[in-house]
Amino acid sequence: MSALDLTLQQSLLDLVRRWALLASALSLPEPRRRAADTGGLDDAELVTRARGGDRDAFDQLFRRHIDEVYRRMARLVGGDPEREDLVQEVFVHAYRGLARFRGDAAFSTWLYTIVVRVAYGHLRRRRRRPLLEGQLLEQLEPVSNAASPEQRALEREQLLRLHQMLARIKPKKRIAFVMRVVEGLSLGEIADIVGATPAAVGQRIKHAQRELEAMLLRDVRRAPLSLSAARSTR
Amino acid sequence: MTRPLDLSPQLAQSMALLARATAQGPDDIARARMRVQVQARLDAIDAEAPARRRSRVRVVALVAAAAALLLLATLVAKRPQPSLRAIALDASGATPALLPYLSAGPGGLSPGRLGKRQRRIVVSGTAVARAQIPGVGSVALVGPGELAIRRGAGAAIELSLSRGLLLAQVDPLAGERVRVIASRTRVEVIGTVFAVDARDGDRVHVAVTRGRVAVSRARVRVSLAAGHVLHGDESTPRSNGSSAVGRALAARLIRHVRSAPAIAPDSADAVTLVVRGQPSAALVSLADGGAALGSTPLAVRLARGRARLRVDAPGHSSVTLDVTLRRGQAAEIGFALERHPVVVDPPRATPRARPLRREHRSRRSPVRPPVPSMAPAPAPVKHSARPARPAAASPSRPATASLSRPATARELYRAAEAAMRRGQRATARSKLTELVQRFPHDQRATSARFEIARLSLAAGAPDRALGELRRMLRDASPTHVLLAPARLLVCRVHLERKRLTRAERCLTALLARHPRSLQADDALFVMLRLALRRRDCARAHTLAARYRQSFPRGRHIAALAAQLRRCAR
Repeated sequence: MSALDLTLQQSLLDLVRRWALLASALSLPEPRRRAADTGGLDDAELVTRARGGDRDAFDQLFRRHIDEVYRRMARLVGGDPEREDLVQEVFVHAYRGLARFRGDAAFSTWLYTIVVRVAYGHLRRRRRRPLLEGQLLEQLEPVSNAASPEQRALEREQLLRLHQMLARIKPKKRIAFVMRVVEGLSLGEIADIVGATPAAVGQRIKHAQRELEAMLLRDVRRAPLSLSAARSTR
Repeated sequence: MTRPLDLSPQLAQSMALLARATAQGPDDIARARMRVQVQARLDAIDAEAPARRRSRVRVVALVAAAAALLLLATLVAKRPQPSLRAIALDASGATPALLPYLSAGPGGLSPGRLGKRQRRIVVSGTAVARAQIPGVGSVALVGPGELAIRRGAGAAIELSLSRGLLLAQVDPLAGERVRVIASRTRVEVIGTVFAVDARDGDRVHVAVTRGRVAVSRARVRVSLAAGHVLHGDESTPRSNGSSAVGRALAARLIRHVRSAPAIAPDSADAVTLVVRGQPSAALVSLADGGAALGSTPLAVRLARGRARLRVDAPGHSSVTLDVTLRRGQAAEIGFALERHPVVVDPPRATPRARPLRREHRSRRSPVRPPVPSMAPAPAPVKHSARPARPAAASPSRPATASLSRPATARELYRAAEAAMRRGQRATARSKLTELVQRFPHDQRATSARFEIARLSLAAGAPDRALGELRRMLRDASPTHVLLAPARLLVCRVHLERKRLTRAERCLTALLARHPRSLQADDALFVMLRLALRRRDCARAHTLAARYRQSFPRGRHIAALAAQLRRCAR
């Protein structure tokens, strides 16, 4: 058997494994109390049903919010191999805490507070055992598909540097800064989510910005030529 | 309003890149993987929910049980001990001359039992309060003073002495740990007779006449043996007799022990007896043992059975009351003492001793007061008092209204004491002799015999002293505090009469009977001198070594070396 046959065989096996996983996900066991139809219900109704033990309703909530939760988690913790585990953790926390959800805010907002709490705990743990550069590089998202390979490599390097710099500032500052700059939330909204005063959140953002700017400056002084510049001069 | 951030171009570009990179959600495979795993975890949560509820119930039950146990233990620990609830307090009415610390001055407490919350004794002026703690012993607080009695750490009974002089007699078999705290001084004691003097602010003096106590003060722990005193500013004990404070405390302790009332412990057998009548503030004592119980109106706990009480009041004839105390029935007894008639001084020619003899004969008359009826009759039963003293009136002389002759044992003793203070030893001896003859069963009679012996020896009448001492030793209780001094006095009489062998035997017996008494110190030193007198140096050295071992800070420790120099020569 040639090497090409082996590679092809492995690819096929991998494809089969993926399809099996997808099929098992689509054929989940019957929930204990199955609702007639949960597709057209809003979040509040689904929460009420899920609170009463309707696992279909919670599954519907999961389907609705998984993308947003994943995106927010990715922004807060960066390219971390435990990102998916953290997302699962968010939904498990939400399932356990459904009884405490009063419905004062939207379910997505409440879910976001759980995302922030889970991310904060993870970032604190991560500061004690930071990721290696290789691990981080493996987990980086593809930035754009249409760009040239050099452009993609440059963006990946820039993203890697940013994640490394974000990993060096304190989790509270990092979360507040990302929520403000990337999510575009106001100080009041951030304060509500993280459970702090707007002034404290403003200070965190200010300090985070100052530290990131200083790190960027040091980075530029240390390596004035970027990867693309180096390649172009080669 | 939130202002936009002014980011540097590099940082803004990096953050925009991050936003773009994380704009996409997970792919289908990742989403399906996460869904499967979340569902699996939720299944596990649902499956373990009943078990968690059960374990939660178990934890709650365990916590509740632990709390209940803790509460129970706290209640048991804080439960007021019966012995503390039944503290009997008497603060008035004793004979001031013999029991000066029992006399109630202005502001003295009214007699009665302390309630559950009244475990603090405060006496003002020169008043003295005595508390009988059943199962523990008795304490006397000399005013002005303040004492709190409570159950302290380690189930010990704590006596917190804020000020005043505390005289304590703790029963060695009580099984209770007793601790006295005065300022920064702590006195640990199990069975002893000791005094704590906190009248001088932080300078607390501790004196011991029986047993041993441990005094802790400023991280220094001193063991204090019988016959020693620890002064407030010192860390080394000294002999009681070496300082005025030590002598005074020891003397007071002797009086305290001598007058310990025989109140029954707080047991099921104890019965409350209320004694009241006319005149008020009469002294009630046990006719058999002579122990003072207090002054009327009086409520006292006595052991059930028959009891014979004696009631004395100045200017009145004494009366003896027989009561039968039954279990579960509080008893009340009343009395009315007859006032003495106005007496006329006898003519000069009348021999001084004759009226006493007549009085003595009259006391032996078979006329006895009727036995009083017992409770529940609330009205006091009046008794005709025994004619304790005849009216020695003489028609040849005009009657002068005077009460010059003492009527009670207490007054006789006071008169004897006053005479001794004036230096009138003969008068004192005659008063004491009268006391012994008229009140042979009074508690003061034993002390009076001792005093007569002492006076007789000083007057050069050793035979009479010996007779009184023998009678006293025969009649006194085995625990009487004057036994050791009396036995030493007997030995001294033998010495006065030059009976050296008998004196040495007497001293040896004294040392064997009272090895830790104050008199053992003197006895050992006298034996050493006797050995030196016989030129028995070996025996003298043996006795000196024994003295140094038993009384390292004894009164004669300095004289010991000087005496032993005679052997060296």
